Amino acid sequence: MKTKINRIFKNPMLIVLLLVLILFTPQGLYSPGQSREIAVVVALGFDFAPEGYEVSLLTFIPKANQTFKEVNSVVSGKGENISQALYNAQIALGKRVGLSHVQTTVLSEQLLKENVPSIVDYLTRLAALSSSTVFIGTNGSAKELLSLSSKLEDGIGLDLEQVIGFNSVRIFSSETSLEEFYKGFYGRSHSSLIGYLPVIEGEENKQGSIIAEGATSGGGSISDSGVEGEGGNSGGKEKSKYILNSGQAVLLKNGEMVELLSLEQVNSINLINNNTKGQIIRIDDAEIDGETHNISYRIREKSVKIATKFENGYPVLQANINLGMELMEINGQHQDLVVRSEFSNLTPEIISKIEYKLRKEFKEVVDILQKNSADVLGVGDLFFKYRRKEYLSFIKNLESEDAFIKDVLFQLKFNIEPN
Amino acid sequence: MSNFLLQRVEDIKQELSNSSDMGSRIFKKDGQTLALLFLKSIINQELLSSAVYFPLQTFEKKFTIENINETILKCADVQEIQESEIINEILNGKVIILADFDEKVLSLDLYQVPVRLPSEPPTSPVLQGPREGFVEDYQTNMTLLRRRIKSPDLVFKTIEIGSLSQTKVTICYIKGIARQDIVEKVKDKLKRIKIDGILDSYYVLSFLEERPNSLFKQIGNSEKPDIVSAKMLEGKVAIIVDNSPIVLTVPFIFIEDLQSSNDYYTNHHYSSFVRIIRVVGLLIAIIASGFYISLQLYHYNIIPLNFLITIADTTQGLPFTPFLEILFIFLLFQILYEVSLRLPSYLGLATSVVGALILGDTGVKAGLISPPAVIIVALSKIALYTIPEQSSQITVLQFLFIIIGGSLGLAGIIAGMVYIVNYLNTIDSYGTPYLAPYSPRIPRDLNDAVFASSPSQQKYRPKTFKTQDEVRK
Amino acid sequence: MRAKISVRQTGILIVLCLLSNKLLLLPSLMFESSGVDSIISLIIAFSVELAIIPIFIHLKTKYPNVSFYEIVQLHLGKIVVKILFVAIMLFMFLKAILTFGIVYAYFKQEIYQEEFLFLILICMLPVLTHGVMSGLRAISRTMEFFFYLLIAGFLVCLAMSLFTSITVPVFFTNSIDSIFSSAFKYFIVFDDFLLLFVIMDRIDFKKGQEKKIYLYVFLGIGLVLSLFIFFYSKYPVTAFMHDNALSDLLVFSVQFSAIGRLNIIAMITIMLITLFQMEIYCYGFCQSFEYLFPKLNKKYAVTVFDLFVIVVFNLYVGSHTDIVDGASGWFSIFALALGIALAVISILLCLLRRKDENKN
Repeated sequence: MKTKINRIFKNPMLIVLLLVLILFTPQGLYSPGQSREIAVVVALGFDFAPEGYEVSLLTFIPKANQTFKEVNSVVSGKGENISQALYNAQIALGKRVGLSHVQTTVLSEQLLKENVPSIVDYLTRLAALSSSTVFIGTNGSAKELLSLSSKLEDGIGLDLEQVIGFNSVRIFSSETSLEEFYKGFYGRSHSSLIGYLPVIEGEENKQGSIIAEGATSGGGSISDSGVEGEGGNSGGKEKSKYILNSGQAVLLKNGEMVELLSLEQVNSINLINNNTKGQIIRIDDAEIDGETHNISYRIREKSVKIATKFENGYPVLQANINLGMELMEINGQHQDLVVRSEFSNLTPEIISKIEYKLRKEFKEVVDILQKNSADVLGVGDLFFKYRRKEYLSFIKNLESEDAFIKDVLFQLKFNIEPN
Repeated sequence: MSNFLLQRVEDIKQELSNSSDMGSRIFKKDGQTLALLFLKSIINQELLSSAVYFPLQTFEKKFTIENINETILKCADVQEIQESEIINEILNGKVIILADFDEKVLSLDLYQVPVRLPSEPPTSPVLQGPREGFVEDYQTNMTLLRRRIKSPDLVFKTIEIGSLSQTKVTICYIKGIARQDIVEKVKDKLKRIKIDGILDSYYVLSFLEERPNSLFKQIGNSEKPDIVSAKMLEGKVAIIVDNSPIVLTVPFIFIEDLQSSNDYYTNHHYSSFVRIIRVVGLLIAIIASGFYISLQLYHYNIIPLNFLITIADTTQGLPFTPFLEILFIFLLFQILYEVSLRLPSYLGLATSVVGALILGDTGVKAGLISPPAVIIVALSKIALYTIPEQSSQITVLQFLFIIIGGSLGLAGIIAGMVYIVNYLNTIDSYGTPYLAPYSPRIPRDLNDAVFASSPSQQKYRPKTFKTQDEVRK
Repeated sequence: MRAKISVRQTGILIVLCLLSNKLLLLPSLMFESSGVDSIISLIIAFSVELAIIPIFIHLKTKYPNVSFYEIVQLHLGKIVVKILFVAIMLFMFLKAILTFGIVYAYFKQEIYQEEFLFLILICMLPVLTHGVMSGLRAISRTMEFFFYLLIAGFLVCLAMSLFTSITVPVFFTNSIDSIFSSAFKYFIVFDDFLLLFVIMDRIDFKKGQEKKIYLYVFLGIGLVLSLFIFFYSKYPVTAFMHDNALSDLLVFSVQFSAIGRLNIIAMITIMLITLFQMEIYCYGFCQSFEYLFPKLNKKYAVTVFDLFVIVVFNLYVGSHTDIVDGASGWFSIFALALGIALAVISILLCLLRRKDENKN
């Protein structure tokens, strides 16, 4: 025994191992594991409340042999500021809250109109929360959106993150995240674009069905069976609510919401972005061989070359846009089912109609951006990069650097070909 | 005279405790007496009759020690020995001839004991390649080596160790390739062994190790003559221990256990692939369980959400904490392993099936243990046998890392790994760095470390062992 | 004569020293002073500290088997050498504390998310102690063993950042003043080659092997520069918000289906690099201690180091503010002064050696 003890003290690593065994192992042995102690939060929602703010947590509290859908719940807490509200939510939950798996952060529209950075300041200081968290706005209450999204999985096999991911790739061409928000906020023009998912009320007898919006917008909705709004469950007709994914985005300037952009406007913003393709362009009343047709094309290929210059002291952004259009659908007076190969060739009339449409929509959205001095196109960065000297001398005469976009002239040159 | 001889015979029998397997035969002829002494249990009695008795009986002239030695006896190994060596020689299966007309003593080697035929060793099966394995007889083992290396430079030096067992221990090396300092060091260490009996090569191994208290093995071992021959050709020294089928080799480096003889008898690209799998298996075996516990106890934030949901779902309501659960399953698997080792094969298989399938499955259904924990521990236990030669060491490491992972988390596991590698780097096996050729990096030897090369590409002996002759010609 | 380490092992030590303290906090700190132009500041700082390499090589060639301590003592006397080595000892300790402080903050944020100071000390200190007690050869072999793994982990972190949006950095957006001041404001983080002087007699260096040393030096510099470039490309505006550069490159990368983001690669790489860096500084401290107090052996040196670390860390519990304040304050001035002093002394020794050779 004595020699064994002597041997232990001769070898320091054995002492360390003993120390570990005495000090840390018992704690490890009786610890139930973080997965049991911590309520995992997958989404955060922020709303205004009479007390100040309301923070909603979409958490999952595991129970044996039950799926995520069955065990998730939305818990909220109110407080004077975000950290207080979160603390109260934790108390209401009765468990320590873990924010490492937060995938989505939702702000209500009301909050978006306030100073967003001061609201999400807490989140940026929270080391556990990654700035790659998806960051979106909603029209009504964030709590409602979270409640609806928690039921999504069973509906059509989609969850919120997938929908937003789809939007990010296909529509916005950038992540809609806290990081992107701050990138815009601290950037040259202090403006950002973030995703927007409104909650709408559907018709009573449409519970459980997937509805599409009216023909004009072309948005699609995702939901499941109806979830009560804040009115409660008792009596009266139940109105089901749906999350509507219509590709909308919120334009933020200096951390405050200034505009809500529609899908078409977002597509127009991305017209000079090489990475976005796939938009459908519909040409009404296209005449071919004396017949009128409504033809839909898809942008199959896109290549954009941008040049910056100063003309007569004013900045000009020239964009040469090459589009490869794919014929998608013909609606009109023709009756035969034979593929009409002439439609694959784009006539000058059709090309000019496409150009006109694209220019018009682009101008509309540029007007919005210029009105708000919200340069989400990154025009200022481009000029700073390629025409620094002229840019710096130009902005000296402006009231602020943000206003640069107001004076930028956009020249679009299209080259549209069939694909 | 003959009375004196008979007295000598009695004295010798007395010294050997009048053992019941003691045999003796007296020849008298023309006033001359010869006495033969032997142990019946360890000699070839047929050969004794044909090669000794018959010639002696039929010899017509007068006996002299010289004509007995040179002419009469029909056996190969006849030597003159000293009086003091008689007992030892008898115990080693020799037949002693004493004469009343001469003081000289003759010793005939008629040693024969039941010996297993060389067969495929159970610990080193191969798909392709030689299937011979060493046996318990050291001379047969020497034969197996001699058959493969027909060089005059192949040297065997035999010494006896063990005051009671007198076990023959043979040092084998190729002169001109093996380093003489290693040979001398081995000899010196063997000569200094003071023990009553050597029953297996492991006894010798424990004396040869430079760090006997270390968990990690520092002496190589093999049951296959082709492996040992290959090692000797690389400049190593082999040690054959009588009564043990396991031959030791020095120096030893860690990478040797990652290699198997099969690697040299198949396509070397496949061998490289398989060796990488072994490395991965080794890592999984050591750290998988500890890593799993550390994630559960300290690092839930690293676990992807879907896995976290699965783990949380399956661990709800369990009576054990994650740490205890893993320890319990680990213990269960270890008990099953021990049981399967000791039971006869027909029972062992059934026990393993009962234990693994039924206990594991029932344990999960009863809500005692969770499926992820069973999978992790099972995986690490299976991965353990990618390197069966190190299984005992890896088992201890597994247990250590479970403790470290559960107590200190990921940082502890990383620190533990660094500590182990650091420790291994302090081990020099007979002057050879333990983790060579990776640390220190020896570029020439890397073509046959984890990545294998074909024999045609191995033009040089490994630089790691600093052999005298580096070129394989 | 004590066992020597090869040039390759020395090179690996150099790479690890170059990576020290620069992987986590430094990119965001420097960004606050000089934006994307911190890359230029970095090049300036590296150029300044690089100047010591040829001096070291020259000195080593002149004194192949003698320690730096002995050379300085021989030519400049006991007092100078003692002051110098006290300064080196202090420098090594400061670097170790800085490394530990930065990584402790990272541990708290990303890995443990709890106050677990003692746990991390228990993980690190025994390994450091064992490493130092095992000797330089064992430490350098261990680093050699893990080297490719570290580089692979590092490169994976850089490569993952390519999968999401990156913008080419635009340089010269800040004034020359801010670029230069940024280079020297955190100089404590540089001065990476001091260890070479401490282990001078342990390096098995032959003439003609300079190229290998330079190769590793430029490898280390290249890795750090590429980290900065990738980091600023990924976070061209918000770099100041990301305190854990190498880890944050992975945080905002693609998700691999259900596996999620591969943060664990960054964690393991950072932990390994930190352990090795701490071992290097601990070794440097202990070696200097042994030179200063030849009657006390390594055990005492490493005990003193461990105690100092425990005491200092219990007083200043690894907050970023403490680290940043210290690093940008007198630490950096001290580091710069020590680097210059060492270079001057080395040049002097080279000249004295030449004088001796000419005399002979």
